[in-house]
Amino acid sequence: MNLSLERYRDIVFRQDKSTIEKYFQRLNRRSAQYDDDVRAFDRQIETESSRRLAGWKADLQNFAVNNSQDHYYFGMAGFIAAEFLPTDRLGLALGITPLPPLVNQANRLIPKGLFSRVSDKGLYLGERVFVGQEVSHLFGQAGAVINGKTIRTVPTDVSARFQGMGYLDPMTNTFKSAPINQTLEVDHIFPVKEIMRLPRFKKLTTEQQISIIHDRVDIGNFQPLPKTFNASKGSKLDWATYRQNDVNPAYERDLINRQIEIENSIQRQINLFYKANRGAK
Amino acid sequence: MMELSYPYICKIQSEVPREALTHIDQKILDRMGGSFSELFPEFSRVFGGASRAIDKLWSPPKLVLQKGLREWAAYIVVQSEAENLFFMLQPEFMEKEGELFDEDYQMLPESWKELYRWFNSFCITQKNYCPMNWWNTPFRFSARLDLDDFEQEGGLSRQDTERFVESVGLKRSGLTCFLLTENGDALFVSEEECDGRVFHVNTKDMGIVTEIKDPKSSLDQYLEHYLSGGKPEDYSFIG
Repeated sequence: MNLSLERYRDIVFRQDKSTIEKYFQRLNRRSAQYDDDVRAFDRQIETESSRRLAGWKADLQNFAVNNSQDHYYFGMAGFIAAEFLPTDRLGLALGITPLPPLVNQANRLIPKGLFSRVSDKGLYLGERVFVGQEVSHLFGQAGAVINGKTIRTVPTDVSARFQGMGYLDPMTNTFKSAPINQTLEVDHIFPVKEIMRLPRFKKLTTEQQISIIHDRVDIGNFQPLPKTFNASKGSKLDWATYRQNDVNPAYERDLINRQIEIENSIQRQINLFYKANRGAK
Repeated sequence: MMELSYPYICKIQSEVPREALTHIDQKILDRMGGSFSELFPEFSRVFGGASRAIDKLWSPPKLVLQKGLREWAAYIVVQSEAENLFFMLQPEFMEKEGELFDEDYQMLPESWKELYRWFNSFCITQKNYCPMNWWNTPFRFSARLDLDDFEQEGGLSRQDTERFVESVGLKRSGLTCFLLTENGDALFVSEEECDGRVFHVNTKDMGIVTEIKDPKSSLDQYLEHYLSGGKPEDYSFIG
């Protein structure tokens, strides 16, 4: 399936239900086929020797690459991913039956034991296979201290969800496909540091704070970014330069708009939690 | 004056798009079309000098809006020939008075709460849209700096900031910077003490700390100076 960016935007912003339904159906068929292969791989990996593992990985990698086009369009930017991943809000709002979540499939296939078998190599099974990555890159996300407890700011399932997706290139403000054999990092569009300084955030329970940082409340605060961009952006809000080059002005401006919107949405959620807590007392 | 980069630019209430109306406080809508002081009377009562400078030297206020997927971003902007002064409006669902509002900003001197009641501070910029980070005017609330971040932003060493902590005599973890100027002047409060005290320090010598006796007047005078085109380096917080 080859969908132009213009057509994609048309679908997204006009929320064309019938087109989205067809799109979901098509994705569903692809996913079922893919899931079968992943399950087969899962069974094989339990029983076969590591010598044969390389061949299976290559096969699965080819399969994933060949089938990633659909997923690519779902994941071009963090907010789009949040809206369009099968389990998420827009699909449900439009009355479309959610797909068996690919994310869950991926999670099921990332037992810790699997990584230990490939030692210093990372193996990621979801919508793509990653070979040759250090394991730490797959889950090497930053941490935050919440009420004395250190947490990952990007949980592993979220990191998994964004692999293989495209990303919005900050230098050109165009969507690019995910780099092959490279783990995408997951960026908080509105930084954790600022979330933690919003009014009333620190008065929430630990679980509520974590749910906001992990975006379990479905704000859409995550976006995939190649590591080099994510490192440059860091926790900056006005991110204007990358390696002494200007970030695309339209990207910079859009990022600010998104940040403000997300800040407001997060604050709305904090207020809801806070008032619920007060009411419960 | 430069053209503003927002899809909706409204001088009076009737120009505000219908779908945005519920996202903006009714008081703001009702006061549109007047001067800055009329739009924000509470702020003007406290920061009279700054408000007079805005009324006198900047254009009448406009409401500018940007629609997002779920939320609207709204600003009041006043303009000079080459610069814009943006006030980032608080969302309509945030309390503007009462117990919750007071709790949110309890670390601030009473008068400084006006910096965050109707808007989330303000900034002067040569851009045609409101940035997220700035200095020379008080920070957005969630952009205020703890001492670790201040150390990093100011290019200081741990030794420098520890000298500051020692001079202030308060816990490092509670000290928060609400204003940093390009001249290195910084105003701190303690979020642990919440006693309304404000401390001035300059990054050039973190060992010299002065408690500001009248935080309201001191900040108002600085803002009047800066909003009138004065340079931060030409203003002294400590007389």
